Amino acid sequence: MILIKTLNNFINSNKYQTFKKRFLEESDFQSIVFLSIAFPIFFIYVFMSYEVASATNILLTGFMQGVFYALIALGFSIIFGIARMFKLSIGGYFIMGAYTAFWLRQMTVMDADGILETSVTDFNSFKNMFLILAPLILFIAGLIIIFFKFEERKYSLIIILVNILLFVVHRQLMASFYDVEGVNSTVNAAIIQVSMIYFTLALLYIELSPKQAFTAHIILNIFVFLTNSLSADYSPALYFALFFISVMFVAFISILIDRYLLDKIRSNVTNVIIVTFGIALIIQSVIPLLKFPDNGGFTLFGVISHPFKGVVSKTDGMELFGTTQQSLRVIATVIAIILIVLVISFLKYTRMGRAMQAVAQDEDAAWLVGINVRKVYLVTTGLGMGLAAAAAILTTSYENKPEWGIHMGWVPLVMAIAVVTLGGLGSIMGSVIAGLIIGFVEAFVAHNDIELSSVVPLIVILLVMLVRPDGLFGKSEEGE
Amino acid sequence: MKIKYIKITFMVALAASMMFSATPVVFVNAARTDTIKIGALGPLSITPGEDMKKGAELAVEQINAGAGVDVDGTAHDFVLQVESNSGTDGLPDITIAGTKLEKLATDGNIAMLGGFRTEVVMGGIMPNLATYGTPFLGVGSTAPIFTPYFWRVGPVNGSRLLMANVGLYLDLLADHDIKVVALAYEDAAWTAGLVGGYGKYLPLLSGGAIEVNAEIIAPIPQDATASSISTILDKVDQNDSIDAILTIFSAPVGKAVTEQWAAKGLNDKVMLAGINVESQKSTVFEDTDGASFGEIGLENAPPGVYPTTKTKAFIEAYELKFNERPTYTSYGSYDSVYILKDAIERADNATSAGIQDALLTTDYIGVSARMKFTNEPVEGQVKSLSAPLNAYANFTVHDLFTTSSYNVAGFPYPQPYFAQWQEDGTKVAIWPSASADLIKAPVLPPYGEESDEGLFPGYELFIAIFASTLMAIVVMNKRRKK
Repeated sequence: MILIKTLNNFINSNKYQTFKKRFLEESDFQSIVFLSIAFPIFFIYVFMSYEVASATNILLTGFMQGVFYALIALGFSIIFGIARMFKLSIGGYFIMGAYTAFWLRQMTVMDADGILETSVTDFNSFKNMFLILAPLILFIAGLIIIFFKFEERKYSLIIILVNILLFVVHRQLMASFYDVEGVNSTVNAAIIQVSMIYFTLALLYIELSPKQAFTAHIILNIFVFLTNSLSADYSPALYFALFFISVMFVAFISILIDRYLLDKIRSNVTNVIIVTFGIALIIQSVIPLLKFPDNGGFTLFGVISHPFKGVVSKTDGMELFGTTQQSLRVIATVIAIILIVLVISFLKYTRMGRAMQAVAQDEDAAWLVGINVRKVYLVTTGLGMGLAAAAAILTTSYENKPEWGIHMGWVPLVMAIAVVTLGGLGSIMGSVIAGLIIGFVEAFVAHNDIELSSVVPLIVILLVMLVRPDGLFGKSEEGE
Repeated sequence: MKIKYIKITFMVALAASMMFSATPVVFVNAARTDTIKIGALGPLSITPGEDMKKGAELAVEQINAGAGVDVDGTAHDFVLQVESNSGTDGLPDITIAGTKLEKLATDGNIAMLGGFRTEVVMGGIMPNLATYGTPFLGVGSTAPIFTPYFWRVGPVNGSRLLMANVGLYLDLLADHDIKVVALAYEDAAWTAGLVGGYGKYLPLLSGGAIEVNAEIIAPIPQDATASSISTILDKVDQNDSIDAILTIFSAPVGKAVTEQWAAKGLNDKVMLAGINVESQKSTVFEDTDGASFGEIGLENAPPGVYPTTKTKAFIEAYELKFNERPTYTSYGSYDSVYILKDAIERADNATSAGIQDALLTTDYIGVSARMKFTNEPVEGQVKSLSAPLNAYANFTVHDLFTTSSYNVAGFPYPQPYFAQWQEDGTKVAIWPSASADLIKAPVLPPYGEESDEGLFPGYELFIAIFASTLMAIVVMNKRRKK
C-alpha cells in the first residue's frame, strides 16, 4: 500500500511530470538520458568482461581516438552549423596542414647555415635569400602591424618589447642549448616570435578584445618559452611555432578561397558540394608539383611516405592507469582537448562566437542587427579548416592512417561526415560526443576483431540513424 | 553570368586536377636513335612500387650509358615508361592496373616489368598480356600466377618464403626459448597460404616445441589505425606466454605495427621476426625513431652479404643515386631489365614474341641470384627435398628455379636472408646460419628503453577525478552567475 502510494506520489510529482514532458517532447533530452545510461553500462560491461588492464587500455585508446574524431568533426560541424555549407574540402585542408608543417619542419632542419655552406651560388639566388630572410622580415613587419593594430598603445608597446626580448633569449637558447649555430639560430628564433605575433593578430581579426588578445599573447609566450628550456634534440618551442604557423596558413588559404571562389555560389547547396570536392582534388594534385626541401636542396615531391617527426620519440611509452601508452599520442590528445575546449568557449563566450550563433539562427536578422555576416562566414571557414590542419599535424606525427601521401585526406573526411551525422548536423557538442562514441566503439571492436574496427562504428551510426534520423542532437529541418 | 563563369573555370580546373592527381608518368629517355620501349607498372605511392621504379631506372641508365642493347648488330637504347597502379590507399588497384597496362601496351612497349601484389591486379592485366602477347617480368609477388606471360623474377614464391621463415624460427629456437609464436599478418590474399603453412609446419618441424597462435592477433586490415593496432597488440601484452610475433606484411601498415610494438613496450619481452617490407628500407630506423631496433626481417642481400659477384657494384651504384639501400623490388626490377636485355640479344629481335621465347632459356646471373625459369615445380623447387613444405599447389608457369633445402647459403639460386636491426641503426645478417663468417647471432629482447613512469605514477585516477570535479564546479558557477 505504502509502495503504491509513494509511486502515485512520485508519478503525480512535478519533477516527474516535467521529466516526462521533456522526455517525450525534447529530442536532445532523450539523447542525454540515453547516453547517461549507455555510457556507464558500456564502461561496466568492458570492466566486467576483461581484465582491468585490458579494459583500461580499451577505454583509454578509445578516448584518445575519439578526441581526434571529435577534433576533425568539430571543424566540419562548425562550418555546417553556422555557414550551412557542406564543405567536402576539409580533407584537402587536412593534407595541406600536414604538408605545410612538414615543409616548414624540413626547412628549419635543413638550416640556413646549410644553404650558406653547401651551395654559395644558391644563396645568391633570390629564392634561398628569401627563405632565410623571410622570417626576419615577417618578424619586423609583425611588430609594426602590432604597433598600429592595438588601439591602446600600452598593449602594443609591451608586446613589442616582450617579443624583441624573447627573440634574443630564444636565439641564445637555440645557440647554446640545441647547438643550432650562426644564422640558423636567428632565423629559428624569428620563426618562433613570428608565430606568436601573427597568432595575436589572428585573435584580433576574430574580434577578441585587445585585453583578451594581449593576455593570450603573453600566456602563450610564457608557455613556449618554458617549453624551450626542456631537454630535447629538437626545440619544442620551434615545433609549437611551426604548428601555429601551419594552422594559420591553412586557415588563411581557406578564407581566401571562401571569399573569392565560394562567395557567389554560397546559396546553392549542390554547387558548394561540387566546388569544395574539386578544391580537395586540386589541393591533392598541386602538392606533388611543389618542391620540398631535402638534404640542403629542393626536390620535387615524389609520392613518397614522409615521416613527420616531432619532439618526442615515437618509441616512447608512458605508464598511464597501469597501461603503457605511446607518449606522443597522450601529448597530442592533451593538445587536442585544449583546442576543443578553447573553440567551444570561443563560440560561447566571445563577441564573435555569439555573432556566429546569431548567423546560424537567422542570417537576415543577424545582418539587420549589424553583424558582419560575410566576415562571420570567413571566420567560420578559417576556424573549421584550421582545426582540420591542427588535427592533421597532431595525428600525422604518430598515426598510420592517414598514411603520408596525397590521398590521406579522404579518411578524415569520411570520419568527419560520419561523426557529424551521428552527433546531429550543426550540433557542436553533439559532434564531440559522437566522436567519443565512435572512438570507444572502434577501440572495443579492435580489441575483439581488428578487421571489423573500421566497419562497426559506421554500422552503429546506421543503427542510431534508424531510431534518430537527425542524429543524436540534431534538429529536424521540418520542425523549424 | 558571373556564377556561370566561375562554374566553367572551376570545371576546367577540376578536370585538370583529376588528370594531375594520377601519378605523373615517368620516362627515362634515350640518347641513341634506335630504341626499345619497355614498360613498368607498380604502385608508385608505396615503397615496393617506388623502389621497383628506382631499380629499373638505374638498370636502364647503366645499359644506355654502356653498350646498349645489341639487336642485329645495332646498339639500341631502352626507353622506360613507368606507370602507377596505386589506388587511393596507395595499394594496387585492379581497374587502374588494367587501364595502365592497356596504355603501356598501346604505347608500344614490347615487354613489361613490375608488380607487387600481382595476383591482386592479375585479373585486370591478364587479358591485355594475352591480347598483345607481352611478357611480364613479375617483381614483388609470391602467390601462384597462372598465365604463361608472367615470369617471376623476384621474390621467391610463397612456399619458399614459408620454408625460409620456418627455418629462421627453428634456428631462433635454439638461441632463444621460443614456445609460442603469435602471427601478425595483413589482410591480403597472399598471406592466407603462409598463415596456414606456419600453423602446420612450425609445430611439425620443431617437434612440437613451437606452438603457433594465429588467433590472438586477427588479420590486420591494411588501413588499420595506429589506435586499433595498439589495442590489438595489448592482447599480446596481457598474454605472458607469447615469445615472438611472426610478421607477414608488405603494405605500409607494417611500419605502424613496428612502431606500436616498440611504443607499447612489447619489445621488452617479445621478438618481432618475419616478413615486413617497410622494415627492409634503410631509412626505416630513422623514420620510426629507432622503433625497429630488434626487428628481424627478410632481405635479398643484407649488409656485407653479396649473393653474386654483381651485387656489391649494384648496391653501391644504387646508394650513390638514391641515397638509400635497395629493397626487394629494386633487386627484382634491376635484374628484370638485364634479363630483358639478355633475352632480346639472344633472340636477336626486339619483339614481344621473340622475348617470350628467349626467356624460356634464360640462365642469367643477376644481382640477387642466378636466375632460371622453370615450368616444372618438381625440378629445383620446394617439392624435391622438403615435400611437406609445399604449402601452395604451385602452378605458376614460369616460376623461379630455387634451392630446395632451407638452410643453405652460397647456393647460386635465389636464397632469402634475414637481417636484424641493431641498436646503432645498422642492420646485421642473422640467417641462414650456414654462412657462418658473416652471420651474427640475433640480439634478444629487451630492446629499447623502459617506458617512462608517466607524470604522476599511481595518482592519475585521483588527478583525473579532481580535474573533472574542478571543471564541473567552474561550469556550475558560470551557470549560477547567468
